[in-house]
Amino acid sequence: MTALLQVDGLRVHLPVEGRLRRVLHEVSIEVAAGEALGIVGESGSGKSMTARAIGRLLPAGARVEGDIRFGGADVLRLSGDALRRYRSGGVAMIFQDPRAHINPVRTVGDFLTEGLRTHQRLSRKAATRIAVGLLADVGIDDGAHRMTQFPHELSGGLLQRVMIAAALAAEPLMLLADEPTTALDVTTQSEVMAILDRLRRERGMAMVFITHDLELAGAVCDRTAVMYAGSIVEQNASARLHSDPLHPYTQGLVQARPDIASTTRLVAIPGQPMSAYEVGNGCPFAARCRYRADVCTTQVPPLRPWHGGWTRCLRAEEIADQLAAQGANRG
Amino acid sequence: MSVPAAPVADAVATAPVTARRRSGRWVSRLGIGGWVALAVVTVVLLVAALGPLVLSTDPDEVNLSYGYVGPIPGHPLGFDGEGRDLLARLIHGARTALIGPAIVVAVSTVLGTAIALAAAWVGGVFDTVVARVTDAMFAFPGLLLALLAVSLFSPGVTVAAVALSISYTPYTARIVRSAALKERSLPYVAALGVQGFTGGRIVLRHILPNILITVVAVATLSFGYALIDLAALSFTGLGVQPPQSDWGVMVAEGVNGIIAGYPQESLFAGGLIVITVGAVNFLGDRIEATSEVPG
Repeated sequence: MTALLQVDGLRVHLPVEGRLRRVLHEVSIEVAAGEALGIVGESGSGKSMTARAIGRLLPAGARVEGDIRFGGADVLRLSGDALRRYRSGGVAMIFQDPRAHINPVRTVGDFLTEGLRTHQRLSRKAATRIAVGLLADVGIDDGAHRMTQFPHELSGGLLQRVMIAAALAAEPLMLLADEPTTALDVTTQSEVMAILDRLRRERGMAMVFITHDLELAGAVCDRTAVMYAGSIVEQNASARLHSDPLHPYTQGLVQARPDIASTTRLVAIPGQPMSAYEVGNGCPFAARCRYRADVCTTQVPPLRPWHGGWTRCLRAEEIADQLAAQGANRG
Repeated sequence: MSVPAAPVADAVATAPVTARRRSGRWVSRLGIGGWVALAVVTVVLLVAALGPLVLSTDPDEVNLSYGYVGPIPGHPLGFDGEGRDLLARLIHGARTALIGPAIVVAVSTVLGTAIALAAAWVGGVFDTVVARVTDAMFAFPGLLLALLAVSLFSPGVTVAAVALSISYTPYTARIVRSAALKERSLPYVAALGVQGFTGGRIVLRHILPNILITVVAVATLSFGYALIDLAALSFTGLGVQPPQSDWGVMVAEGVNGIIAGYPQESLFAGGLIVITVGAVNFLGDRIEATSEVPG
């Protein structure tokens, strides 16, 4: 089976103060039709850049290498009508901050129906009917009234639902959700996430879900990829990644997550996160890694298959053995 | 997903209310001074449009025996040196004085805005070229270009207005471009791109309406400057040609009267120019100020 989205060796350089700086080292991901892939990482790890590269939203002057294929089409070389078709029907993006990403002086109704009327050539009446239905789907019952309101009259949570409705309106094959709940408060977060997860499954859409919340990614995504300093360091089925993290960074993330039943101190990852352009020869995580060996600072670890997924660690076998021994001791 | 009918009707009913409330907020930011300026401009425009239709006195009727005669019944402002009725000439002159600037503003605003939007959207080399060319044209005073044009072709308001339109276009383009660039950099514009809309649609349906207030402000300010420039050309004899009545022409013709002790003609015509330009510029300033407040 060929994947719907296939990203191969994606490398991105952005111009910063006149110099090209590397923000993505090597990102390779695959998403099958209807499948959800979570990309987890801390700020600056390149997860949003990955989403932007897939949506062809990189700033002018960016240098992009590698390959992005969507349904067989070469995304990086799309232009004109083909690019518009890809963006209007292939992928739909849900942004972190809905308020900044919706025209502030047009009504919610205009925002929701513009795509339906332009791309699907529906009448105003038909588009309005569909939009009201979509708003009901995302849990907004007084849709007809909301459609006459302006974005500043809606709360952040409502507006994010509106954005999800707009993304669904295009009936895309894949959703690109870039931290869709980060700007919302916690109770709204879980509601919006539940709606997004349910509607995506019902419609059989694939999703690339960007978040810094490993647990959330695990809950809504079939597979999870962990990013660090511009590279994907580990990728596996979400459950597996959660129960048996192999890469030292993933282990750190899993251990750093609070548990309501436990009162022990959280284990933090020592050191500072590294920017992608600071990465030299060797493993980007080496400086903070407790399994570090000499080889880690001189050799860039390749992606290696690991229990149905991939990992980017030179000492994967040794770490696995150590973990097994620890597990045996505890058991 | 059935949709109850009542809320839809409700929504239709509330839509105009929302629109009214928004424009109400915008209009209230004009302030008292802005409203006075708007009233003055409206009165001047109404007089220019309707005055000649209402007024029965012929502005071009020469009656030398009334030369420099003050106000008499039926002629409240008196007569000029050739015995023509001053009020009639001022009212007819309003038309010629305002039509020229209107042409200049219409042409330079449409051209300038189109160039600015194209430059801001396309960006890159095209934008740089547009920016440099508008900068270079800034070095040319509009009046100088108009003088050059009328001396190359023939004196007259049309040639002068076309020349001024050309020299006002970069001014408009420059200001609108910076507003358009700012708008284009906002995330929602990128988001529209990801929704697969064409560049033309994003520019015309989203960016232009959102910077329209800047365009209106620039157009209003240009109108004041164009009125002054064209009046100055008419004063020097290169714009509107006598005996047609025009405020600039009247200021020039009244110069002889000043020496003879009858300053009314120059004074009234000059005063109207000052009041009109002042009101228009103040209004433009107020509109520009409202555009700086997010809303």
